[in-house]
Amino acid sequence: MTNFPGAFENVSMTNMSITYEDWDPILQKDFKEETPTQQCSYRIKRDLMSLCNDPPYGLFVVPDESDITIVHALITGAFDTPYEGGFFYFILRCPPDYPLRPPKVKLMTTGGGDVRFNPNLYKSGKVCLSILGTWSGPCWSPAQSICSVLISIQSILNEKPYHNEPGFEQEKLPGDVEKYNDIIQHETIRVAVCGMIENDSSLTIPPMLVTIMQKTFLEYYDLYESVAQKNLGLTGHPMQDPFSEKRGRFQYESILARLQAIRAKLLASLNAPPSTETSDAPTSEISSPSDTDLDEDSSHSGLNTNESTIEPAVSDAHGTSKQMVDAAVDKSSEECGGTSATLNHSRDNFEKPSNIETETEKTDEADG
Amino acid sequence: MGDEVREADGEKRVEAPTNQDNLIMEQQRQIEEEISEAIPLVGVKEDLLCALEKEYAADPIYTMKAKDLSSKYSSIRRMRPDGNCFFRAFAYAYFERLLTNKDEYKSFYDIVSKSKDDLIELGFPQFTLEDFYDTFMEVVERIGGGEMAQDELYELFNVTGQSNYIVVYLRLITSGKLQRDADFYLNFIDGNRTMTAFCHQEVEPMFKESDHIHIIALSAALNVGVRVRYMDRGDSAQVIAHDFPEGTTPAVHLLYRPGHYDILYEH
Repeated sequence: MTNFPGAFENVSMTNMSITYEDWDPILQKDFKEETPTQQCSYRIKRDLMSLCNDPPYGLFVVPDESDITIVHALITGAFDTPYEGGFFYFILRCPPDYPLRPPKVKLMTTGGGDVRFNPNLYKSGKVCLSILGTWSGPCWSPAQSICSVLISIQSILNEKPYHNEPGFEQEKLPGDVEKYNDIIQHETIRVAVCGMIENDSSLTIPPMLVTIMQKTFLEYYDLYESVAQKNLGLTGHPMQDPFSEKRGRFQYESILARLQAIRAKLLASLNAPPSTETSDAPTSEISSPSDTDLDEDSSHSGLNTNESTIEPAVSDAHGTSKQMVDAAVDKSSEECGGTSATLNHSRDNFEKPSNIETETEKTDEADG
Repeated sequence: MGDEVREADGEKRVEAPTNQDNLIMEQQRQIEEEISEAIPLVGVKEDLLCALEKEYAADPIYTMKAKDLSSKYSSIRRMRPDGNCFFRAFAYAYFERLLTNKDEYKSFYDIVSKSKDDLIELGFPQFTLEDFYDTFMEVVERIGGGEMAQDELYELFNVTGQSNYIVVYLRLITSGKLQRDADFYLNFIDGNRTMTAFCHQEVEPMFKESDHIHIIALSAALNVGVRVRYMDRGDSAQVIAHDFPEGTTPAVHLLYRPGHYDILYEH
């Protein structure tokens, strides 16, 4: 219909109905050959900074140590959803012309490619979202950000994920919504809690996110245990997925044992004196002085899973993640030289200057 | 038991490996991308009649229309057909005019320098706007500083990063105008979409082609008159003109051929 068909026009059209293997950030060969534009890396840093300044609840990001275009994200499942307390680890990769095009996103928490957590989260790790171009609906726009992608993902991890499936806005068979939620809740605790903490599918998870998961695990422990206890009777029954997805059997008995073992192990590492610890970052993080409140809490047999006990982990993590972003920013601003002046300007808002100290910056530091 | 339901829903949701159709479409997309990228973002000024007669040598209707057009316009500047051509053509043509038009520059500067705050007020996150706004204003300020020459503008618009950031910002201004005056503009869009949904789908994303509504909103937002000449297969010997907003004196002249915009220069 056109003399000069808009080359990219077709991309968005085909993305509406059909998707390629193009979605996978880890298989992206083409990106590796192109270096990101200065605008691209600058914008990724700003995205990360905005996430650090104003972190949405239950959402954590860590920049990759070696590649500024890669971002590691952890979403913890929200209250009142079958995902509650689960750890959903994502890898995002921004294209060289980001933000003109959306990042590629992969869910890494799939039990090694075995579990489909949501109609929009395939077991291959594919995330079906219109702004990623992997689903129909509003497309990506450069005014969106890594943050808006993660918030969209949070919104599909909702109370009744059954309805995410097109054509299933109404329950097809009575009880299907609940049946699906029961399965998701089981898989969340089995794969997105136990599996993630044990790291049974051998993922390379950034140490900071490991730390957050360990802390959050202890805070949510009561919830996990009560779900397992309540559903012990289901053990051995087959999980009947309303979408006929092949699932195994409920395993609450073994899950309960795993939960208890993980908890014992984490508490042991918390109470161990620093000298006996292994040198890996997550363990040493856990015993840092700022975690004393957690230490006290965990000596009780029962932890509250209300919001106030979760606060410390969030703010701690927030602090750590700032440092991580700063480190990444420092590193990359050295690399692209020209932007560092402007960058420093915006960084003054929230970070402590590391090398150059002027009068004003000292004041800032004192205030902080 | 859920099987029938599943089948009725079709195979769309099956986690199928790449099939042949996908591969073909992907290949087609790549070919189109290559063709598009072979054309500069902003081309050089060409003699209108020469360029169009060569293009439509075997086409009597278009040749006739090219002749008609050449009675009013001397030159054409082609744009890359990447779905952004309207915005890029608009920006280039108007910036080019501003290089020599100080009075108009002043009022344009006032409008655009306020635009970021207007967009923030509408709920656009500041940090995502800033890069685009800064790039856009940097160019605008260089134009006003009187230090920029025609060929610099040309070079600048052919640097992908800067050129695209200017397009992004114009898209955001357009979206802002449509949302601000949604009551009015809703009359022009089909279906039951909200204006915000329309903007998310059709205005803000890069590489999305522009329609009348984009042109009306952008020309109104920036107070810049646009005359579009429509050249198609219709039997009229003349190339019809549309002015946006209606009744204004055009500052920018564009040639529209189905799916694509280029810049026109009057005699």
